Amino acid sequence: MTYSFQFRDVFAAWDSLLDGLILTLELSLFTMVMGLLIGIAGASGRVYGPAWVRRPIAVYVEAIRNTPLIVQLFLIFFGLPSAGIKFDADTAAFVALSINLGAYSIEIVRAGLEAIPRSQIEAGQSLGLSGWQIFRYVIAFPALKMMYPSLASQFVLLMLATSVVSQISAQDLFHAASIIQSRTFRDFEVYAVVAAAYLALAMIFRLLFAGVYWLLFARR
Amino acid sequence: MSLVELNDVVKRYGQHTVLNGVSLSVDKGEIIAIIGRSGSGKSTLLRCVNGLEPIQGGSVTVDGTVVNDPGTDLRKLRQHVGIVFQSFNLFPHLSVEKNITLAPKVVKHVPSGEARRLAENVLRKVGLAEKIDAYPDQLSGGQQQRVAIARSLAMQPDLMLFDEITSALDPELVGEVLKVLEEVAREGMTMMLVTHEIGFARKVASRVVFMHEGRIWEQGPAAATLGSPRTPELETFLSAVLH
Amino acid sequence: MIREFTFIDFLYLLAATRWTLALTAVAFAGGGLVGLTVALLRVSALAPMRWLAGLYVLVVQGTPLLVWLFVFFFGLSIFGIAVSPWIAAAASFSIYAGAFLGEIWRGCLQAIPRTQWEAGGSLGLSFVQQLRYIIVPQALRLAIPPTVGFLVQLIKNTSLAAVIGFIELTREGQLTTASTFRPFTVYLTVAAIYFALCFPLTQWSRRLERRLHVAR
Repeated sequence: MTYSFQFRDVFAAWDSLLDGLILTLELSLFTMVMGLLIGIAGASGRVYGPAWVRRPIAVYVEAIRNTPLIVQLFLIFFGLPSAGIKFDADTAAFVALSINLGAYSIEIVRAGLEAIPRSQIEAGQSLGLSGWQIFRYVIAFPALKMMYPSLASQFVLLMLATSVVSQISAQDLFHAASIIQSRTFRDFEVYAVVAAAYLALAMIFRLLFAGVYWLLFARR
Repeated sequence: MSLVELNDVVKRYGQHTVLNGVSLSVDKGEIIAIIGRSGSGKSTLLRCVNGLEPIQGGSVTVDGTVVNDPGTDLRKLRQHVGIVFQSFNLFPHLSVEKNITLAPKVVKHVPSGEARRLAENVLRKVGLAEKIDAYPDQLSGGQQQRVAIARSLAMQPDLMLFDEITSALDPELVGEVLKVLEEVAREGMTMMLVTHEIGFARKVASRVVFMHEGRIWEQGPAAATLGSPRTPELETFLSAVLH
Repeated sequence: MIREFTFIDFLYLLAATRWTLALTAVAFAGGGLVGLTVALLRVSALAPMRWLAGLYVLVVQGTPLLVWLFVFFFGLSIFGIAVSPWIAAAASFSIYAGAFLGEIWRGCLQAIPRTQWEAGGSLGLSFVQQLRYIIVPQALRLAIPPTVGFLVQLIKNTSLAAVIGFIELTREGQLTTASTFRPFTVYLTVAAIYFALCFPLTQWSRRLERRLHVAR
């Protein structure tokens, strides 16, 4: 018994694949920006804020990091409407992904901030720098350099994880695959093509992040 | 025939030439002290002798075995050539006894009971019999280095290499380690040691080799070479380390 | 028929949690084997072995877990191989966990200073003996906290097996939602159960990590 691979039907649906790819890219990029903002704001509050700021942030981080993304997604898309909050699939996907990535980013940024030795801060203080100046000139750069690799790999993981939004019928790349699968019955070929597309995306993101790292930190 | 024979050895790291045609022969029972500024290639020279560093030219022969021949079983060779490192390199997860008996047991298949007696023996030689059950992090730097020497002795090597073994020690701990070295020397061990301790070299070594810019710049009997250097480079070096 | 979300439903969710744990255990065992192989190949002296293992990690860490699940569950059927959700999930998760554990363990092996290898080598120990007696015992201590941390990732990710109809906690949540129409309560309960599984492990991993830092 032999099976002949046939990619023609899969590539014939290239427009659905492209649409899916675009949503995957949009979701990934918007979420990365949002996640980074949440990460910086949250980590600053977590490290420098008063207790009533620190505690809720800690609870948020632990709640998200110890539950699956798909359950968070279902809770937001299927659960929240019963509390009167309704999103369309794309918005729900963006909200869930941002909340998820935000929690991971907070931990990464926090670790970066806390890795700066106290002696560096003391050196800044002894030179008469203000708190903001110390953050701006003494802490920010080395902390960013330290957290950058973890952030970058977390972002790539996030890009791959966006595939779960297909489960609330957001029309991303993975969703496009299931549609084509049900139309062509070329199961293996469809997923091979989609796997290759994700792999290519992951490589492109890694290269971009490496390039940015080089621009920001490696020269000098 | 000499025990160690280096013939026109060349060692490069990329563009940088560390050893630039070094020839040296060491007879059984000799004690060679290798001195020179940092970066002169003296540690590299030592590491070439037991094959830790691959070389780009020339040959290294130990007891008739060509070390740089790809067909040579380095494991066989290393059972006869001990090396003690600057940073001790004890195994932190093993007790002193296990540090010493590991190689005899797994390489030479010495039975456990005999291995323990072997450990007691070599520890007595370095004056640490009571530390047999201690762990490396419970020992001072000097004690750790003495254990490292004992570990090497337990393999009953024909040749021992010592790579700046007192350089990482606090000054007050140097003496105890040198004393152990003297003891090993007195028993007739063939030794090659890279050292900064000029006084010790003069007292113990049979020959001094001065390395400069990747070459052997000058060598000869310890007292004569150190007492009246023939090259200005050795003179400069000696006056720098002695003051 | 629409019912309320009752205590019985909660018990059903708990019962389904068994399968979450079972899948985690299988994936950890399978992934551990793959991961050990990957880690050892990655520190091997033979360059092609290192590349092969590196390629494996690159591909698996560059594709979504969902794709692997679908390839195994739907894709293999074209070769006439009928794959049950159990097999598909076990295979996908082993492949996935193998890549991540392999990378974690490789990092631990490489964190042991070169000088330890040298010391072993110069005592005449073979490569395998150096690994077995010197490198692995030390790397093991370093490996425990991140391995426990990854276990948390694994538990959470088994939720993806729901999409191929593997009945574990998340899938049971979907089924309960379908019959009770209480998605908010159901998914919140599901999340709480995951939290109860994962949070203690997270804390444990952190404690181990701290102890390691103190010891150094």
